[in-house]
Amino acid sequence: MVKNAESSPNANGNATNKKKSNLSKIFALITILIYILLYFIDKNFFTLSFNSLQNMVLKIGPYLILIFLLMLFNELVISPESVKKYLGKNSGWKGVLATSLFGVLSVGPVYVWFPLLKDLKKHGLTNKLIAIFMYNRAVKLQVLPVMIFYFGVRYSIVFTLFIIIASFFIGEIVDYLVKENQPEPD
Amino acid sequence: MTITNEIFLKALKKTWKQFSAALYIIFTVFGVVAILSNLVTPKVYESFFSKNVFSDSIIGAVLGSVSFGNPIGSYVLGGELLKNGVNIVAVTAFLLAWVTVGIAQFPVEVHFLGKRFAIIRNTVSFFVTIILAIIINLVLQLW
Repeated sequence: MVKNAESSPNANGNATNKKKSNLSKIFALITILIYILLYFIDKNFFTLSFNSLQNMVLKIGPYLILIFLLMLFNELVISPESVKKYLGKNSGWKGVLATSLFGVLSVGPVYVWFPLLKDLKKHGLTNKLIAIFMYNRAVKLQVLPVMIFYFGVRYSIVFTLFIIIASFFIGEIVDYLVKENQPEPD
Repeated sequence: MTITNEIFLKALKKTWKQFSAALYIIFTVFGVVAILSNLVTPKVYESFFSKNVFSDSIIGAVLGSVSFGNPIGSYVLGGELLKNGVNIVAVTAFLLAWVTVGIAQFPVEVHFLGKRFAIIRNTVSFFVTIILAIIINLVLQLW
């Protein structure tokens, strides 16, 4: 019974990973196909899209290097025990505040952080803290002057503060719903 | 703990394996986003709003959810929408959804954090966006 409980999730995990990998390959192939079609149908639009793609890749380049280094640091230095202690189920308000601050200060597009979050999740980072981190990324300190320019100081302060407050609720709701929908163990 | 060459190389290899898988999916999403960003212009955004506070708030949240890119883009677009008479609640919902709900990045989120988590997080963020837009503007009226 215990053996089944241990082996079954692994088998399911491998099957899910394979399925995900296949889906990713199909998704990538379709995208390449669209670009090839665009090249023959509308060369101008192809050039525009390809230039946008190049710009995006160049822009996130430095962030990708940063994420790679953080992942390597995580692999080398951070133990699952310390993740569990500081960002796990029992991390309490300290964990919430740490991830909120991390979310506010983190830079670059959110998707470049996903591999690191997945890594940390394997080591014990909770869904609640992931949701809090992701919501707090809505606070963009580096572009706050632009927001102030368009919407004023008062609006920008209220907007920013309420995102941080809402992130705590989002964390709790997401955590509750993800747990609620977990399949019952056999 | 001492990090030997062997430990370092092992960690480097493992990290690269995970990272290269991430690059694969991120670049694919970029490919799609690059095409869409050239199809959808600011004029297209404006055409969706009807100047009705209730429906515009939902439209703002939906448009913000399917949009992507640097938040500066949302501020510029939001500023333009506001100038053209779109309600501040709808614009706030648009700004919030732009940075908290990610339909374009959804496949990447599913890939790394799981389908259930991605669906729940995006759905909750979407509804909270509309509620928060109303609260923010109530607070602004009182302040």
